[in-house]
Amino acid sequence: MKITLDFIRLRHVTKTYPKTKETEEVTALDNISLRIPEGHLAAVVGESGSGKTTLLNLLGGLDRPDSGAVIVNGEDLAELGERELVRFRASRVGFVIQTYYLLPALTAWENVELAMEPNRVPSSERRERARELLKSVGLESRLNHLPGQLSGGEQQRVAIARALANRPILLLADEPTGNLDKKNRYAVLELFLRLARENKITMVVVTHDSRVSERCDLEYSLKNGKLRPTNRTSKKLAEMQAEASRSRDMAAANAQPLARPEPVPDGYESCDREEPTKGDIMP
Amino acid sequence: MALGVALVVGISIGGFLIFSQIAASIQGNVAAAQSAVKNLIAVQSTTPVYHEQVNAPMTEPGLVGKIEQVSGVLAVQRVSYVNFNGGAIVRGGAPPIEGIDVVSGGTLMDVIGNGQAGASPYTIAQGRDLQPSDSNSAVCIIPAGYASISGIGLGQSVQENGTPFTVVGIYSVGDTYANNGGPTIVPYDPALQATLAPGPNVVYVTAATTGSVYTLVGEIQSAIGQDYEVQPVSDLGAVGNDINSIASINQEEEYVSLAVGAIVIGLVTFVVTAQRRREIGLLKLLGFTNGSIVSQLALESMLWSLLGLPIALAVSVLAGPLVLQSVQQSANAGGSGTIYSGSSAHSVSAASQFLAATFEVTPSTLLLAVLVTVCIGLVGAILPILRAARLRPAEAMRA
Repeated sequence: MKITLDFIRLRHVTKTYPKTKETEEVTALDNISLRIPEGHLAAVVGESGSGKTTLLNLLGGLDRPDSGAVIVNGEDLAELGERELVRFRASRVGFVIQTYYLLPALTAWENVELAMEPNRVPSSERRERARELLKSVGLESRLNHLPGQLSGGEQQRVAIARALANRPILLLADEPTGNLDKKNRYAVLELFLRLARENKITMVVVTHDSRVSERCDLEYSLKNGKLRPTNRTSKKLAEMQAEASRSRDMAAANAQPLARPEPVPDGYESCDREEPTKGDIMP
Repeated sequence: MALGVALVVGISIGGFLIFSQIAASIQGNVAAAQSAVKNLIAVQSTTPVYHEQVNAPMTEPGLVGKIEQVSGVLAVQRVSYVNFNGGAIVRGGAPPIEGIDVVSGGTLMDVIGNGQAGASPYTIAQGRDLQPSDSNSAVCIIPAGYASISGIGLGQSVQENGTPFTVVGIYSVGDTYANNGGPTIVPYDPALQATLAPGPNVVYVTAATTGSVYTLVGEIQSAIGQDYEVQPVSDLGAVGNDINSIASINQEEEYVSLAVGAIVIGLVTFVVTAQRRREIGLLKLLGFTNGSIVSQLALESMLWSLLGLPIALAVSVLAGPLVLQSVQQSANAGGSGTIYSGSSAHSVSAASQFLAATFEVTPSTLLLAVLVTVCIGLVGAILPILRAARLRPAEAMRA
């Protein structure tokens, strides 16, 4: 299986919230760069107000950076028009939010179906897919319950099912277990991670719960708008980079006699060859 | 909240329906009355005539013939106001031209009467009205109060200047004083014979078209000389002012009702959309377009507004007649005034004549109510909706 190393690529991204009557100017993200390989689960850890949600908003096309590039699966979101961003959100991204954001007047089933409406999924398919997803999160018996009739853990499961409804390539989760009690927190987390891995979805989760970040492949910390990989992550990324380089070299060597490029061998697809610039945190 | 919104919107739209129907009715009647007055010309002696003076100078016998020769004259009506014994006032009138009914028919001509008696548009309570075929008959109609006090009934006679007039009708004017002291109305020629009066006090000329009235005034003046005053009957006087001011107040109230409805819907939508910022954020997050969000909110707002429709109809059906009655009362309170600005001033207390006699909800009223309701829902809500739709998704999610 081929993996795109730069499935998510942030280059020198800065996002500042201007001064308002109530607040001073805030630089939420300060010239940050980031790479997340395809199919990996990445956690961004930081305290409240450190810019985690801003980062997630940029990755999901909910907001635009002041400067820099936000590239997801080869598309620079900063370059997309409003309609294309709407389409990107509708078809490529699944969101899970701390407060679930379920519509109170709709049943669990309808809440999941709702996510498929912008993509014009036929009604019967929507219905069936939503039922399957709710079954996969263990809520088959709660299909017709309103959010108010569900526990916090169950509501978050509905939100997870909704996030997966459009078969996204990117899953963004903002404190997905933040509102849950201890018992539910880890059950939901395990379910979430399992589904992401099973569906080979790249996932970015922002959290301040170290138990959550430890369970992810990559871990970053965000503080005062600056993003840093943990040691474990730096090491892992370096290994992946080295392996990708080796694969490229081997492919180049094999390609010499044939005088034409060979496909990259199993392992990794080509990654961004651009040299890290000053301030880039990638190894 | 739904009930509260429905109630306020319903009352507002109900108010709009009531006032719009009354205002439209008034406007229509005023327009019809003005049209009738505008092509009417009064011809009378230049000798001053006072309000109280009912035996005004008579015109010369050949006057009517001269006027009839002028091109553009549609009809000529002779009217005399004379005192009979006992103080009863006779208004004589007869059709000089075939087919013109001067003593009945519901036009403004019928409200011309004597100021002291307070003659008003009358309705026949018993018997019948005078007809053109009565021109040479000694018949009359008498006011209901006079009939009651005198014990005179249909088929009996009243003596005027020694001449018996058979009562063929008893009329009512809805006013006790006028009912008691209103004129005994007799055909013109028998009236002159009874009083030995030489001719009419006033000749009313109906112009063929409204636009030719001022030309016709000049032509009549040339034909009959300067001994007569020729003037268009164009001033509705106090009655007209009352009616116009009532119509204008009704229109203002109609607009106020609409504005109240729109403001309520606007406020409700503002509050609802503010409360639903996160929901709007979620829809944006899920990839719903601004267009679909705006149309969804607009539809909801129209539904909010339509909740008030049954209440609006109930309010208009129940309160409409009461409001109409109150408007009519206020019109009657100040509704007496001159109907033309000649030297002979005749009074009417007929403002209610111009108001809708009934208040009913018709299919067109219903259609208007639905349209207005939907429009109010849209107009009131459009700003909060557009404001909500302009929210960036991240901003909406932070709400």
